[in-house]
Amino acid sequence: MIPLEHILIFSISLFVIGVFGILVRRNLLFILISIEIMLNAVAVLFVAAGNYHNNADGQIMYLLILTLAASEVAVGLGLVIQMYRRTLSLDVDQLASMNEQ
Amino acid sequence: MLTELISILLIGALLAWISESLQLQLPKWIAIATLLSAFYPLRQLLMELDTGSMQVWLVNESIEWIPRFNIRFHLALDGLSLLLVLLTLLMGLIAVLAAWKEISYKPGFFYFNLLCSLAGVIGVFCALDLFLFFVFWEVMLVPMYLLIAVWGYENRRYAAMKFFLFTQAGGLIMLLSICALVLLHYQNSGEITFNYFALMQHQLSEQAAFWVMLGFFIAFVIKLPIVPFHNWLPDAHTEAPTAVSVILAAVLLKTGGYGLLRFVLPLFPDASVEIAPVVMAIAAISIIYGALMAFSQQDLKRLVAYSSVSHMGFVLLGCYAFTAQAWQGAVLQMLAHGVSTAALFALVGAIQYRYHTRDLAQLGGLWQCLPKLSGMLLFFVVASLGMPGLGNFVAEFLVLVGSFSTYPKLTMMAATGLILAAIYSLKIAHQTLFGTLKLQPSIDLDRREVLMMFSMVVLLIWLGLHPQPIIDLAQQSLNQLSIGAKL
Amino acid sequence: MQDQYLSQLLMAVVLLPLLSATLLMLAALFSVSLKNVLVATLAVGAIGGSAICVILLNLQLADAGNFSFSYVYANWLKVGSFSAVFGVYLDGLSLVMISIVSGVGFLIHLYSVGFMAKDQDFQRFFIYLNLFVAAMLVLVLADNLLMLFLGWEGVGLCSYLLIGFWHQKHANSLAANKAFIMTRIGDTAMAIGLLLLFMLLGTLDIQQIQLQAEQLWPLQSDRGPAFDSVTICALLLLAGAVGKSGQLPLQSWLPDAMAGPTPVSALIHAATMVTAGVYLVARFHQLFSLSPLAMQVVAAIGAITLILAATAALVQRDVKRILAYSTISQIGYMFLALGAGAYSAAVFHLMTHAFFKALLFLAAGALIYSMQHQHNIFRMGGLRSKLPFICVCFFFGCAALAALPLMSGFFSKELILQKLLDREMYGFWLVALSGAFITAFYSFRLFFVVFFGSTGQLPDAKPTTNMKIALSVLVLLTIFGGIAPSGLSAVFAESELASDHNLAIILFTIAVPLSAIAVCWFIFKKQLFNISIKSDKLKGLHNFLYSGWGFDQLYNALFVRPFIKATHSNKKDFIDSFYTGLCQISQLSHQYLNKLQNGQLRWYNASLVLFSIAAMTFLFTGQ
Repeated sequence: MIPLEHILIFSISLFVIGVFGILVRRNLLFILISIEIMLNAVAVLFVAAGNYHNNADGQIMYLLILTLAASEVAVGLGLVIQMYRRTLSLDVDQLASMNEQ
Repeated sequence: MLTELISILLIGALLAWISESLQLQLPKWIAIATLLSAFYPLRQLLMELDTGSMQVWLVNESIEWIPRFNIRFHLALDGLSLLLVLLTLLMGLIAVLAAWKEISYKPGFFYFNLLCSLAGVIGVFCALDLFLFFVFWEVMLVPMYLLIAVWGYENRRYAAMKFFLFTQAGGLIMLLSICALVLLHYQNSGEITFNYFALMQHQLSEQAAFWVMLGFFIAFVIKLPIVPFHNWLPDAHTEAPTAVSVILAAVLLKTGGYGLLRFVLPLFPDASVEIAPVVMAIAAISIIYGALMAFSQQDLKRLVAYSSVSHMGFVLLGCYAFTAQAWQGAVLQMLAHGVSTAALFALVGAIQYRYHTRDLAQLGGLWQCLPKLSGMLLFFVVASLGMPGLGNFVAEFLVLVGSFSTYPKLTMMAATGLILAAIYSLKIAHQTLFGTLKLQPSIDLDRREVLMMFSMVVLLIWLGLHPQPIIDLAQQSLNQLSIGAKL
Repeated sequence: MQDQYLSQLLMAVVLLPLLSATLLMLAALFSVSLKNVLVATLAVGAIGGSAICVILLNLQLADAGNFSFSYVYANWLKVGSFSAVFGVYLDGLSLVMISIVSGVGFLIHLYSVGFMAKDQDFQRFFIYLNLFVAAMLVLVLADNLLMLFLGWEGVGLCSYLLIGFWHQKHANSLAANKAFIMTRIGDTAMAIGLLLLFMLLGTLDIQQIQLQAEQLWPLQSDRGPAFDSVTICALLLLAGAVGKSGQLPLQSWLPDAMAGPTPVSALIHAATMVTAGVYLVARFHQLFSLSPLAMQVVAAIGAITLILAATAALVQRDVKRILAYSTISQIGYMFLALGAGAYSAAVFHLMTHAFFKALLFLAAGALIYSMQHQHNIFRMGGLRSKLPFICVCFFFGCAALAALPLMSGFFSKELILQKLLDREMYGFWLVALSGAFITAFYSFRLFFVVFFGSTGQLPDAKPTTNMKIALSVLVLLTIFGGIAPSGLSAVFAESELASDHNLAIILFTIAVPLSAIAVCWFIFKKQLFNISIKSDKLKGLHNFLYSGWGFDQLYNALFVRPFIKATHSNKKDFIDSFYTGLCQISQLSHQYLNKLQNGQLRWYNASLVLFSIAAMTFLFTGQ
């Protein structure tokens, strides 16, 4: 039995890696991947917590996150491809157009 | 009867808009026809009017509207309202005539807005349900914004926005006050009502009355306008097309004075008496400040706009002197100022139409080529400086007589406004009419313009020499005030 | 029966000129072009009709000793306790006044037909002139103060319009503005007086006011001059009178008012309107009598103005300005007489002054008309033989002005001097006498320079018949008009002091103007009038006198320029800066907040993360 603390540390490190990925990477694709990593970090935590409480809710939650992640990737990747086709770039800093007046 | 009146205006407005697609000349004829037919519902009332044995409320119509909050479509007419409704319709006609040749861009939509605004004003003058009053207050505001923003001169967006923000801010404060008043009444009696009479019966605590009154007061004083809330007026007038300036000066400003007389004084008599000295001082300052500002202006329309500030100071002075003469003077001042200033704006518009400038430095010597226009301009200039025999004098004199017994020093201060009025009024005549002609000669007033001006001349002389019918008509409504103020 | 007859006559007197003015105005407005002959017939006919009605009134009332007639035609306005009516009040005083106004007015209208014949604004001129006569008649006939004020402002307006009649010249408009605004200052004080009187006495009816004032503030001779409410009322009314009559300190508009056509100067700025102030004080003589202080102020104003204007007239070169200053000075005499309580003498002088000053102005007009609009007297000279008719007119006018014996002006001025002596006001008597000396001097300076000596510019036109008729009638009035109107003493109820007519004093007062003329003739023969002044001191004095004691400069420096400066410094309206400031603050905060919303995804993320961390630390540790 792996102690809960280890899983917690693992999950938090995964989440922080994801956050840093979003903050540091400029490529939209990698940002998307970082989001996936963060989602999975949460998912791992859910499963572990479910196990800890002897409760199936954690695993159900994991399934929910799985579907969510799948649909998100589907839509997100689609958008990223569209974006790339239009602008031939996936750099978020360059793509920022909200403040252009 | 009043519902019909307002519906006629709204239907006419829609017709004018639709007819634009058929023919561009059609909307103005429809506007004229609408305004003329608006007199039709009033015919019986006007014919059987007997000021000697008249009730306070001549017409009283009340229909259920939003039963959940006990809001009713309650319109009523007394002598004061009747006078102002008549002024609105007459000045509406003048405005349409003033716009006759000037408006060529989307005329249908222009007259739609004009008539809607007039309908709103008439609603304001008749509504006795506070919620309905607020609705009409907004109804007259929005079309006015469009009229300035779409058909105005160079800096129209800025002016329209300023006008809108000032009035809207006042409206918001008033809405808060209305809600507060209704809620306080609800707490006391357990009944939600927006009814004027019911709220009038309600006794507020001194503190509450003061703050609620202040909300109404500020909203109306912005509309009048009084220093230091006057800044929207010069901009709005300068940028607005002639017809809109006419409506603005003749009718819209009067809703402020009307609001004071109809709502502030009767609903909060004690609180009003309490703040009267301060208000009188503000009014006197307004009179003098407006006149000084008028003198320093170079733009003819701005000059007349500031003179309005000065003249409307007399209305405020009259409202808060709490004597019968002063109240009558305030009412007469609203009417006389409505006519004389509207005429001045129409004439400035006529000059602008001919020379495309309102700059006093560029004008001059108009008498040589435009004798009729000059004569008319001189007449209304003289009227606005308070020449006895014309309406403005009677009004200002009554205000002064009324307030002199209670506030002699402030009244003397206000009376110096008469000297300043002479100075800025003569400046208009001096800069535009006299001297050598600096611009190309142009054609004089045509028949439409002469008719329009002449009717206003007759009105002013009538107000000046035989104001008694009007005084009698307004007397009943003003008597209510003195009962409220326990005089 | 008689009342109705009188009231109808009085109504006709006022309404005829008004009707004519309205008709002419409407014709102009609706583009009905009228021939000059028609305009003249209508305008002059209307005043003629008025004058005839006044003659009928005079006949009707000739044998009525002390009469007063009042009639209310209509209600004007009535609010609560305040009411005003359209009513007339006719007594000896107003009868004299309407006789002057309609009579002299008619002559001047007649004269104007010739004088203005070539002017393209013929019709407008007669509209204004008719309107003026109507307003003036309203003023003198009014039975309440509000209606008096209606006429009062009405004549002021017409004066403004007529001074600025030749609108092409900017200077005329400035003169008109000056006249209107300066009189308006007095008028506003008068309006405040109206308010005060109404507040204290509860009525604006002139007779009622005086009756109640006598009861409310009985004259206490032992108390001496005091600054009580009756004095304040009287002084406020006096301010109006001072403004309208061109007395100190509101006198400086009158010389500039000469920019108007000469008949206007004759009618408005000599014979009728400017004497309205005298009429006002005379009308309110009961009120004024109650306040010794106010009476002293009236007399002092009159005396100072008399000397001021007379000395200013000494050095003027423009014929019309000489006459304008002399008008101010003569009205000073009237005020002096009023202040001394010699009301009937004042009104008598008002009447004779109306005759001889109208004559002088009309003659000056004829002179200017003949001399290609030349105003400078030193460009003329030796016109005695060229324009004999005008010379005769001028002679009689100047003689009456100088109060030479047997002229009308002599009787009235003599009466004033005598009343001053009767009331033991020796200081004022001396002032008046020296004024008489200066008056005789400047009037004959004018006469000698224009009509004697070497010939200057030559005349190129002759006065028309209309002008000659009007002038001749006025000459007759000037010579034989020295009969005091009988009705006056009854109005003013003056106690005739048994004055011992000291022959020596009378001879002395006669000798004063004669000696002045002699001195004048002597100086004229030496040709000292038009030499250029060398000494600096004398030059300074000359400029001081020429500018009418420098009042224009004083007022410009004290009031006009600071006023213009103050108003123009606030052209942009400083209150607006509050609202624009509000605007700027919200715009500024918008700018800063807008920086946060920049579309940088990573920036958003970072702030999200930072906020989460901050929130969590706060949640876990903050409590």
